[in-house]
Amino acid sequence: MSHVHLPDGVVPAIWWAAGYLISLIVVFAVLKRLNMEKVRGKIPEMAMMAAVMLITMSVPLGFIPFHMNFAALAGMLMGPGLGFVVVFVVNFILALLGHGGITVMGLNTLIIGVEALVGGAAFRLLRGKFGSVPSAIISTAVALLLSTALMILFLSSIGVVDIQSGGGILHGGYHAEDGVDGHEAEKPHRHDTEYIFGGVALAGWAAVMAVLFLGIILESVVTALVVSFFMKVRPDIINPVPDKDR
Amino acid sequence: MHLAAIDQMASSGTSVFHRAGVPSKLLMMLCLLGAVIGSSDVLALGVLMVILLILHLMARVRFKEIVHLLFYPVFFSLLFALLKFQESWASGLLVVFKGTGAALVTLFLLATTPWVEIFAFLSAYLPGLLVDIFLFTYRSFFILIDQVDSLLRSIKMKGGYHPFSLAMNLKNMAAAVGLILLHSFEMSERMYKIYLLRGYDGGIPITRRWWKLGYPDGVVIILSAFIVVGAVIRWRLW
Repeated sequence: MSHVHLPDGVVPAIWWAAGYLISLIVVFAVLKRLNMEKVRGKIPEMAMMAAVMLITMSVPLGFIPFHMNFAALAGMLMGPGLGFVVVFVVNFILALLGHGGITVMGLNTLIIGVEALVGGAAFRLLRGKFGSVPSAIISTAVALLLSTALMILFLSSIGVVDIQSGGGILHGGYHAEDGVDGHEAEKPHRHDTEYIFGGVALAGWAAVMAVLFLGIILESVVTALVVSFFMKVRPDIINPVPDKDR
Repeated sequence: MHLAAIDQMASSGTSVFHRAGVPSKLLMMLCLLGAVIGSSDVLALGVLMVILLILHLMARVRFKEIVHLLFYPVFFSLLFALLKFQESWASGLLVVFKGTGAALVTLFLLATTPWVEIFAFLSAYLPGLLVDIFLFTYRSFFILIDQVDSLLRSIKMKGGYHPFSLAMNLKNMAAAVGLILLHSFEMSERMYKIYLLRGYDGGIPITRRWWKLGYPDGVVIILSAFIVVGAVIRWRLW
């Protein structure tokens, strides 16, 4: 998805320390809760999923400057809990490579891990009713929307983005600061930078939402296509024998 | 991702940093990270960035890959610095310097320390299963990367990739990801059976004798102390 990897130095220490703590607790809880024998058998599969996620992140999608992360797909294939662990591993490696801050790795894991948790859980819930491919689209879209909303709410709550105007992510305009003698306040405000989408000019939250929705649609479609591919060649991967430990 | 190139730099380098042990390098990384994240002075951060670049030069790392990897932190820092730039240039630069500086620190560790050594050190503190996942991921990455490379090349050669045809790219990418996943799952089953035959029962033994410190460790530890002292008393260069 067109998620934003938080860089170092943006989030106050108390928040990233809490992010580390919570993500580690979730990882430990997932590993502790599961049957060790069965998880051990899953390790190579989880590692392969993590490696595929790392590799697909470097596959270009043409002129659009974003990559997919397939966290929701990891949740669907591995199960929500193990999907979260895979996201943790991928984020750790990415953080060491400078793709997302090392201090905010916990927060990035929580935000992207939500995609694996929600995507995996929703897919399991829906596939019986709607079939695998429609469920994959719905689950991925819901998971990505939720993780995006969480990220924006979090950044807004710590004052990094302005939720009222959409400033901070794609917002390019500025507001003159009020001067002591009032002179600076009289300066004209520059208009918000506009982003052009096929002849439609968008600014502020409209631009943010347009970019994010485009990312959500693209990743949902690709995830559904991957699930559809599996349903044709190896349906047992998508619909395995029921296993409560997964 | 340049994972292979970084790994090659770490494994084949002969500088004093390459020869130092993981604990001393992790100590230096923590000191550098603390100095970068904790600083609120643009000038001090600028000096730290110069020190980091000098360290990279001393370690004789290839800058082409490092610069390419730095694109991500610079881009994402700029995204968040946009609002700060409205306050002042210094505030904006601070965000960019912190994001880029921290990335330079972690890349320095990776360019001078093989992944396996890092995981081996972490195995003392993390659950064995998690460390195993890290090691298997590392191994899987190198197994898959060549196959993905040739798959992407064949897609391009057969006209399956066009920069301006997003729909076609998406369809082909989905098929490629599906193929890679399918192949990787089948490979993982074989890999697990091979590991079982070799006696794997959870926890790959990768312990090292960390307490044995040498001359390179001394250099790294002194440098770490130097950085901490410098960050605390805020160097006054002029």
